Amino acid sequence: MQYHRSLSSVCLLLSSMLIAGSAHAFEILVEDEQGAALGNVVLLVDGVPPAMSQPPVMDQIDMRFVPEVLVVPVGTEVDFPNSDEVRHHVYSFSDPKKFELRLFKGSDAPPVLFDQPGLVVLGCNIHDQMVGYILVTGSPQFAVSNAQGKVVLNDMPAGRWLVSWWHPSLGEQPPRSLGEMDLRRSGLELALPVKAAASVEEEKKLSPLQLRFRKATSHVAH
Amino acid sequence: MLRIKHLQTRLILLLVGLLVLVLAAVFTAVYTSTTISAERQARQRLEVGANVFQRLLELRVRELTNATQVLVADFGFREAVATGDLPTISSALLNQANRIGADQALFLSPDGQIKISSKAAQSGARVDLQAAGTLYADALLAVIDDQPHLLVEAEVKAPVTIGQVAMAFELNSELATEMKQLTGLDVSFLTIRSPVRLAVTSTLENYLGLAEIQTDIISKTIMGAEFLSVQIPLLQQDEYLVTAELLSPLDEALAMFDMLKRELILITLVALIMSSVVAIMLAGNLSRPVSRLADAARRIGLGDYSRPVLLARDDELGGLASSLDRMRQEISSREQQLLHNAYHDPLTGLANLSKVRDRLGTALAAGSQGTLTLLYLVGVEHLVNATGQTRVEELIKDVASRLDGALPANSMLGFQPGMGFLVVTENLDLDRSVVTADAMLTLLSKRVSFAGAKVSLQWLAGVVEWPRHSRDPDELLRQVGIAQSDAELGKDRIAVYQANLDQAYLRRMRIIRDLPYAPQLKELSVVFQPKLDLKTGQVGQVEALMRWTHPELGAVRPDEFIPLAEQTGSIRMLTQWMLLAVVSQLRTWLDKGIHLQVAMNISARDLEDPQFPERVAMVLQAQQISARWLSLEVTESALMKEPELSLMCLAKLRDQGTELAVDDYGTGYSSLATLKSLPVQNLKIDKSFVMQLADGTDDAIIVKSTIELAHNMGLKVVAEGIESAGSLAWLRLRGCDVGQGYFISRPVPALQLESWLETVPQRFEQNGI
Repeated sequence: MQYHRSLSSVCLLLSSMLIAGSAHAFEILVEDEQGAALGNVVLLVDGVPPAMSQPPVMDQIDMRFVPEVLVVPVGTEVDFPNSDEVRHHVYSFSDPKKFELRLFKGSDAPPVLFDQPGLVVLGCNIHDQMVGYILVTGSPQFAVSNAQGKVVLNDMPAGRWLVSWWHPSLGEQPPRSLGEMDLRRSGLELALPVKAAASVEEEKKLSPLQLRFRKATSHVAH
Repeated sequence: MLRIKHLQTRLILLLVGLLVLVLAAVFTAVYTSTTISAERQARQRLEVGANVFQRLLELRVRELTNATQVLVADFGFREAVATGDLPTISSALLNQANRIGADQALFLSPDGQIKISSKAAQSGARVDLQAAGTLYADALLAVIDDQPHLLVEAEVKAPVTIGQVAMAFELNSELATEMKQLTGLDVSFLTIRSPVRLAVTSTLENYLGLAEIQTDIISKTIMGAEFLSVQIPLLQQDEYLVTAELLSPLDEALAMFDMLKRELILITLVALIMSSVVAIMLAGNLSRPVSRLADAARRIGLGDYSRPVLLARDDELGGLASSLDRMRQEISSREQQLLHNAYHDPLTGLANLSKVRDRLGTALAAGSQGTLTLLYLVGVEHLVNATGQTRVEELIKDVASRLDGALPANSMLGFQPGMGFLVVTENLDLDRSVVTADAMLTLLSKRVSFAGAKVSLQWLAGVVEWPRHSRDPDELLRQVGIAQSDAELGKDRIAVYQANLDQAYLRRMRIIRDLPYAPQLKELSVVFQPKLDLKTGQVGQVEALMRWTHPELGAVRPDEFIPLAEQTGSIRMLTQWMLLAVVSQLRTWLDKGIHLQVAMNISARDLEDPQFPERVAMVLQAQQISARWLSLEVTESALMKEPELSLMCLAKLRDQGTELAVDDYGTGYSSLATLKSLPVQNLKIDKSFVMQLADGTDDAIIVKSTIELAHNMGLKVVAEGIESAGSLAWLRLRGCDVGQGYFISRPVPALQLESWLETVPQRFEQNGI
């Protein structure tokens, strides 16, 4: 069953790309504030006709949520297949959707309906390091940048449209507007106010309390 | 400056001082090394303690972290946090805090603000988090409500951070005490919000801690006790400072060495006391004999030789002591020798004049009675001249030993050269003393073998008695000298001192003094005594006799001044004067037709002069007088003095034609056999035999036999001292050749003699010759 769905997804993707290719498929490069390619950036476009979308899946591979960031329209059911050998206990305490998929393997877990817009942060009660984000949105078109910072919008009619963006670093904050812009310009690059991944990593070592007194601390005992 | 005079004190000070120095050095060394060692130990303890402290904190943190992690991992808790279920969160925090023993548990928002405090939840008070700094990976040091806290935190993730839980452990006295139990160090926690001390916790009472950062280990004094201190800063943030201070009590470390030090002090004291005792003994051992030797030397210096210097030691001091003792003995014996010499005659070893004087002084002072006798050897100077000093000394020594055996009781025998033997006898009266002296003289007069011949020595004695004659030793010695000089050979060989004889002595002195001047002052004159030829009744010879009329003493008898002249040597001058006077008278008489042979006395001293015969010849020749008119008379004792010289002289005179006679025969000791060898023609019998001639008496026998023997030897015999007709008749009957004496005529001046000569035939032919 899964195999077929995947296969159909691939077909859909191919047809949409074909449409995009013949019609209006555009690539946008997203960078952080230091000019580095930024992945996991969600671009949302409002005012356009909704694009075709595949059934959304939040897989778990190698104890990671794949994809890390998933955007789904409101009222979408999402499958949580488990590709790992180990069990996962996926949960979310986020307001748009609180749920819990206790210790499941394979495709045991039932799909979850996300009927409220907003950000749903996913965790695994067994593997604390697993974090995933499902952005439930009402925007008709959206795309997520890959690791190279590339965002592909397939079916984009000409004209200026209201564009907003979101990144996990924004947490539960709503997507931020970029204003109206023509995304059909080739070679469009978006520089977003997102801290470099390295500094984020560094800050992660410190607890919030430490961060609070960090500036004042001049001497740290070993 | 203090000068130490006593050897003992100096030795003690030196020895004890040295020991004190050594002990002080040892003590200082031990004290220093133990102190250093104690400090090092304290430092080590401190360093170890600091490490232990760190480890303890880490351990505590790890435990707490685990407990905290358990809480935040709890799904229910996370759900409560995620859903903002504050009462659930609060109760879960309190529960966990109690479980792990935290003072309080905090829940903080993702931005670090305290949302819930278990303490606040209980008390309702607000919790103030003032400062916080990372101590270890998951541990912070925070100041909460002015108190230092160890804060262990954990994030609540769902799965992103939705909050934070912190467990706070107050750094309180409980912890300090626990730390102290584990490390053995005193622990202080100090929290400062500059410049105010917010909190001080210490295992030491009333210790406020150090208000500034201290990087090194230092030593400090707290409430009078020494500590080594190390400070561990736990938090330094803005004006906040939290430190832990570890204190290692140095006193405690030092206390480990206290026993050692006490023992060392004890050993030091004991060694000091013992060494002082030893030093005192040693010093005493050295200085005691030294001061004893010094005392001994002082005694010897003062002349006390009675106590021997004894020191029973084998060392140098012992040697010094025996040397001192030898010195003492030798000084003593030398001093006794000196003393002996001062009071004794070296020849005889008898007491000398000084000693006799002392003895007299002692006896007089004691108020005793006794006598002093002087024994004088007649003609001792002639003996010396004749035989030499050595022989006479032998003789004197012999006499001394003989006398020594014949002393009366309570006597002391002394000898003074030039004076004679002195006998001091106590408790003996004068009469018995004379008897004793007589016995001694008799003993001494025995014939002795001397210079190869048997001789009889002639002794005189003088005796004085004290206190009758004097109470002064010197006076007694003078008086005994006078007494002795008053003694005469024969019956009066012992003379007792008499005050008037003293006058005679002075008179003799005067005579001796004045006699040499008598010829010049024309005080001398000659008188003549006729000699009667008993066979013919004729007077063909006279004896010339010298008369001296002293201007003050008046007439001085020849018996008195001739011996003195012989003693002093002025006799030769008198003989010369006499010779001139006689020869001059002979000239006168020959010129008048008076033929008389004149005899005059000559002295032994004259015969000692080899020129004497020539001088006689010259005088005779000067007046053209034949030698046969001159007759020279010499006493037999005079002939004995220098027999060879005298004989030579006499032989010459005889050859010149001078007639010679032996005078005073019978008083000396020469035998007739001796006379036989003399070149004399006449023998004059001493008047002492003649004066009281009567049949049957000893004198008569001597005179009779002398006449017979003289005649047998071809000598003419002259008897002098005829004072009665009986004597004259007796002598004539016995065949005596010539007579002389008062009965015939006194000695008279020349002119008176001449007129007397005219009456001779009537007188003596009438008297029945």
